Amino acid sequence: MALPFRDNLEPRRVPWVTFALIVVNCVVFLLLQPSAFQTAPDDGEGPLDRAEYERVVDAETFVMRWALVPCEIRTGTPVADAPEGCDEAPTRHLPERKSVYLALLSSMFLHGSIDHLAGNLFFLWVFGRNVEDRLGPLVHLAIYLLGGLAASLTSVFTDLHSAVPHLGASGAIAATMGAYLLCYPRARILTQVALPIQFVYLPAAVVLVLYFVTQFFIGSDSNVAWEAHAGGMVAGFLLAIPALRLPWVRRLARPDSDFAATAPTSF
Amino acid sequence: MPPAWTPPVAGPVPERGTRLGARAIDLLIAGAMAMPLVLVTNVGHRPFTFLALLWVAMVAYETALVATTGATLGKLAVGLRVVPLDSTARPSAQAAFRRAAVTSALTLVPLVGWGILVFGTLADALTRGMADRAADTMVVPKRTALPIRHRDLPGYADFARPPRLSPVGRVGDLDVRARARLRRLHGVPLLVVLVAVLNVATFLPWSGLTVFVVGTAVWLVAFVVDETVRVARTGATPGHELAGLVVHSPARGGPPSLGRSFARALVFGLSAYTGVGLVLLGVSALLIRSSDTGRSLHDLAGGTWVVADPRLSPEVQRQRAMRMRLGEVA
Repeated sequence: MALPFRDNLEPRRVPWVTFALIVVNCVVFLLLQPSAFQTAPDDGEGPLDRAEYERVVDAETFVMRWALVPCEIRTGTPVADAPEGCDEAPTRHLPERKSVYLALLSSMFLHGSIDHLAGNLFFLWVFGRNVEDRLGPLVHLAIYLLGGLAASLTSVFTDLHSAVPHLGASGAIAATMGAYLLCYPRARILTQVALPIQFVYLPAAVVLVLYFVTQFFIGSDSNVAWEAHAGGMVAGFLLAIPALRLPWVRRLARPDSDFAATAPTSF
Repeated sequence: MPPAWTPPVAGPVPERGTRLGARAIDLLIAGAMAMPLVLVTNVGHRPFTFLALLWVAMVAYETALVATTGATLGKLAVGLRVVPLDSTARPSAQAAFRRAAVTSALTLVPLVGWGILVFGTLADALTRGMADRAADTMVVPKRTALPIRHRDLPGYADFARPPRLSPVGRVGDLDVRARARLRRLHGVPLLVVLVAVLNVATFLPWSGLTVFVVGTAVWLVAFVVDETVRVARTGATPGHELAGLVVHSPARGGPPSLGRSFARALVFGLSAYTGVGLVLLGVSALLIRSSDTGRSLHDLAGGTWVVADPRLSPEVQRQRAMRMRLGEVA
């Protein structure tokens, strides 16, 4: 396990798209998602009172309406309409209406808890700023959204019959990380590694390849959509290849001196 | 004979107590801002929405004041102001926002955030915490002459905390040495690969204790061998080289012998990587920070001193240390 904290490259421009994505994700979680995502309803020994029960219903209905459900994408039909070949939904609180394909986009901006949100946005902050600096804001946004879409589809194709909702920006952020790997393999990232426990600067290529490889060791019984992470990262890497050849993107390249690992001779 | 140290021309940095006093006043103001927000948000069900709105209010307050007057009310009250480096103007709105965003975010995270705020102010040679670094600003007494140039920062640091001079040169400071350690693996691909392999191993279906013990043992062997050879051969690790520091053995007048280098590497490795040795690492940090010699436990074990590279001029030694402090090296 390796947790990146910062890289050694100071962006040359204000990363507006990265900021905007952070703000949008925060606004959605803090203001649009039901309150049960912030404080779990009291699940003590007794039954929930009516108000708490309604909060649960509200949250479950919200998730099933806006999150990605693989078998819905396969059939094009909401789970509420009992499409053929779908597993049983994890809740009976299903929305009356749902735009199935819109969920491919909306699920990218939803989070299950404050920890989930904070972790994802921290990764976006660490890697997104310099991807945007290198590729420009519009190309970064395109990679984020298309990579997120690819990550969602990876989740769908790995379990076509699942009715379990998927939500989170991690697939899209993994795409940004894939683009970072292509743009800055020689950058250095201050990383907290688990074994041996230490903070140390490591080459970006090592940190990101390690992240990619360890996804395949995450158990299927965890709540982590590791397939989406892996798919998003591959998509981001592949999308960044043609992006780097765009004429206006080539002009944004950093000078080699920015990557110097040794102190200049003067100081 | 080490080069003579000449005092730099620089102004004072604020007293650390004064900085904390200003922060306390601003905290009270933040508390006052929180009151009306409690009334308009459903804190019980949406605590993070409340905190986010409070953060927005605090950032707006601090950004507006710093961009227009150069200080928050707390700083005005104790006679301090925020100045951008290399400029005689007030901080720009963007710099003020960056500063406020970091300070406010840390203020809203109990214990960890407060610890970072206080530690940054107390530990940094220039009392520049995370917010000042993010905004490229510095807090100074109100009447300080401007501009404060980047290249003069080493002088301010030496003014605030005069360097310790040993018979073998200027003693390496704790913050510089710690940052050098963060860069220990620069240009050491074998250890980097080993770190990666060990971290993949944490996912293997073995007991956590087995993975930790075996992994730590493997790492210790590799690290101690690498550190021993490097220090005995060149008198420096990659981090030391970037910071302009060397490991000096007075007995040999240069790098320590292989045996002493091994003792030094072993004590550091056991302190830093075994978990149980973290207390020793803390003692080492205290020794480096507080003693006149700046010698840690591993220095005592190896009979070594960590000092500025005597081949560099005093000014270059100072600049190297400051570049390391500012994170401008790799």
